[in-house]
Amino acid sequence: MLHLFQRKRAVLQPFPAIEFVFRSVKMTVRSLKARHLLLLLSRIVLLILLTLTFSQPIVGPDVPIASSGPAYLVIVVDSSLSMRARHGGRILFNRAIEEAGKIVESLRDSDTAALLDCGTEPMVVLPLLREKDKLLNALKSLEAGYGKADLYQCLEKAADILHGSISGKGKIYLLTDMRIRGWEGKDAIFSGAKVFLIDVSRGMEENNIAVTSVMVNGEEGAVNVEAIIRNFSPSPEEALCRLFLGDDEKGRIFVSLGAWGEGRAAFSVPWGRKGSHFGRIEISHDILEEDDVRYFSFSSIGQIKALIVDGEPHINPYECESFYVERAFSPSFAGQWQIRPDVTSQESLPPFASYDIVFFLNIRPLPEIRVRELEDYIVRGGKVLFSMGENSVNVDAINGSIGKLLPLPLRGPKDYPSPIHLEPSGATDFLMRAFFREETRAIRRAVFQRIMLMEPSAPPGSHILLRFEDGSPAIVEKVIGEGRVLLFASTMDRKWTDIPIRPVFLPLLHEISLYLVGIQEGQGKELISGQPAVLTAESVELPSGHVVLLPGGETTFRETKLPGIYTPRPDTGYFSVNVDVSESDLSKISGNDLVGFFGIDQTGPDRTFPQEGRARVNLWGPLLFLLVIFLPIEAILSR
Amino acid sequence: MLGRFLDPKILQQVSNLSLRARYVVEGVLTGFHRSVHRGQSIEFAEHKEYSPGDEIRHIDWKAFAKRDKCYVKQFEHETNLRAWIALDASGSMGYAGGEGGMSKFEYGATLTASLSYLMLQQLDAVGLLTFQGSIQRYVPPRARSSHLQAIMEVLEELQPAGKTDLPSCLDGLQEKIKRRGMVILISDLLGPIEEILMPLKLLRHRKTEVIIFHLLSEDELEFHFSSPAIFQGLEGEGDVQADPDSVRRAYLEELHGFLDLCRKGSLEQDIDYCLCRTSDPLDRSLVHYLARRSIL
Repeated sequence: MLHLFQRKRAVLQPFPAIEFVFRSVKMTVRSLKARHLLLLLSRIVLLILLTLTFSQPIVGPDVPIASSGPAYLVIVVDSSLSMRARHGGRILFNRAIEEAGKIVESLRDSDTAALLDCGTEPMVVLPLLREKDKLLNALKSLEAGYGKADLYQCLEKAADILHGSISGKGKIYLLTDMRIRGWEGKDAIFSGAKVFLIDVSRGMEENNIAVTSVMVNGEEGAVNVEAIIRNFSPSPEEALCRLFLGDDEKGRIFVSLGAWGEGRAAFSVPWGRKGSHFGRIEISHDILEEDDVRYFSFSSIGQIKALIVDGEPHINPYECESFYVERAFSPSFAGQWQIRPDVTSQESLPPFASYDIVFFLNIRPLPEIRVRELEDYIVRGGKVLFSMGENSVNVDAINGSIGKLLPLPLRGPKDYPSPIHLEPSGATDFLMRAFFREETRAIRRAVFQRIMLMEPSAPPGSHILLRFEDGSPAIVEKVIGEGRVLLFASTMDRKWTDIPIRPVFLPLLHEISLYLVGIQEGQGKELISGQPAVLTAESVELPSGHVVLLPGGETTFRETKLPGIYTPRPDTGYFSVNVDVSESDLSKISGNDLVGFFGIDQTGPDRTFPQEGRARVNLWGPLLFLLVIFLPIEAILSR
Repeated sequence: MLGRFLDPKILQQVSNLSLRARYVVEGVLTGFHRSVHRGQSIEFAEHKEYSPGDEIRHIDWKAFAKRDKCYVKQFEHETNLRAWIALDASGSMGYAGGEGGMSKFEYGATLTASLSYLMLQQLDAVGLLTFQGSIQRYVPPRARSSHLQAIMEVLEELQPAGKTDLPSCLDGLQEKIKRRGMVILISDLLGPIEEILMPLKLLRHRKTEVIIFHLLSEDELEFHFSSPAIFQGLEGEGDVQADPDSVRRAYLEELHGFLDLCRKGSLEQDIDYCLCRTSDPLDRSLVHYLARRSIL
């Protein structure tokens, strides 16, 4: 319109030499048309450039900062183990830091941002602030972890930060590798704030092999090590597995792995040394190197003597109450401890003092003298576990007989037409360690058709260690003198539950046994990165060589982030810390799963952003330059 | 009364000048120009051997004394020039330009009047022929001083209009020219120049001297327009919208090509060509022209 209006109106001009004008117009008409078109185009371009220049557009990775008004955002960086996977010569975490830096750089002066480290526990690195340099410095200080991240918890934490802001609104930028682990465990849909997902693992392969567990047991003059190696890829693989005791390689084996399968590498090495020792299992490095090595510590063989008292022995061993427990302990090594069970019936009770643990399975009322013996055993440091059965249905008799030894009085059995499950959340550490060796879901898979209800309130000295999903106590503990008593509210056979045939049964019994005998956490034990260790030491040497001083006495040592061998001093035995291998599965979360998490499609272009190799560029400068170029062009064309 | 086309200032300037024919002319009257006819005259031309019948008084006795032979003197006849002024009165000559100056016709008419006065002063005969699409008015050449009035009356009555057909008008002029003389064409020559030069070529072939006063306005010569305009022909050629800035260069190329053709064509036919810019003072242009011509 401007172009048309600006065109001068023609005046009528009588002219004698019109023939020359005719010819000249004919000669120039084509170039004139082209010139007018060019002029029109140049004016259009000029207008566009003028508009764009003043709007100061930014191109690059699309960070949808608020188009108007100050923006509040929380930058959440996934620092789980899987973020240590390597791609393009660097780990994904570093790429995430770089992308986060770009987000910070693109912030306007009025925008406010917070930084949250999403590791095993969400950690607010910086609250909402405007200083870009502080945010950038904080980003540089972040490190990837070795554990599993709970992204839902992190997002909730980020949403809390935003809700505390002035506007109450804001956005969360989650920089993650979109691995399926980390998105599990929640049934609720996250809707606390608008979330933008930035996938830093674009273009990266997902195949990985990991050493998921190592079992060490000793016998006279030898060490037996068995490693489980798992293939997290859709194609068969072969892994070279090497055993190191100390720093010396003691053996190597090729392990064939099927697609998504696992293999075992078993070593038996002559070993005559006494004391505490360490070692590792190592496989060839792949994209995630940290799970290609698993550390372990061991010491001279120790034995735990366990007495299994079968409350209802049967001729048919499969129908014995003690069948599953005995099998779980025979032969059995809980770490470097050997558990040697003796099985007997209530009628043939040996002296308790020679046993470290006594298991009363499907207990029946005991004679008074046996009760006093048992009480004396416990007071002096003995450890007892009572499990239920048909014999304990007569709760009055049981309460009357051994009620003072029970953590909670029995109320009576309860049947569940729809079987219930255990609820592992809230379980104490020693029980959760069992679950680290298996998937968390495994413990939930055990079903219980019948349980023994107990009185709801725990008297002093009693602790509920594990519950069923309806809140009923499952394992209750009571400290009596120097000893402990555990009460399991179901059977150790298949009459009331299927837990004896669940893979979690064996490690659960082992952990219960070690817990009962008081094996100190973190000593001669395998921990997961970040898991605290209860130590009685003056100092601890970390795998990095750094020495941390302790206050003395029993201390909860929490600096267990780094995988490797830890050395408490004075020497009370090494303990190992390993990565959380639940992060070893590098499969990506699907769009459907994201929908389940957020409730809407999170894979659209407005929610995920390509970040590869592009920086955000403010085009003001180049546009101004073009404007300066086009202005004289338009002037020349209009002349 | 002088009339509007007789400017005293111009007359004063040119009165001391003359317009001499460059070629010998025919004529019997005693005048300004040399005649092809030899005979009684006051200027010696050459000797001729005496033959019976020649006048005794013309015998050159000095030559006899020198050569012991009788010779008679022969004299050149100075006689009058017969000039025809062909004035273009077509529509295009009515263009005055944007500054309110003389139109080409007014310029041409003034030039016609001035030349007529000059030649009559020289005792030359001058006639006038005006034309548009055809010959409009014809005043035969006369040498009487009163003849100027007749010419002025025609000029006063004329209004430039209509289309030009210069070639056919010049053809018509040829028919009127019986003997050698001078044709002065005063026109803007806006037409097919080759066709215009053809009858002039024929005139030259007949030993008639031709002078062209090519009148063009400042606008036509420079095309100094700045605003887009609808250019309209003055002789019904039509109109065209053009942006002067865009077409100027091409226009001037065309114009200069046309002027080159005029000059070249005139030169080839030994036609005296004078381009007159109507914004220049006529007296200066005419004086300049006459002075230059008198040197040749």
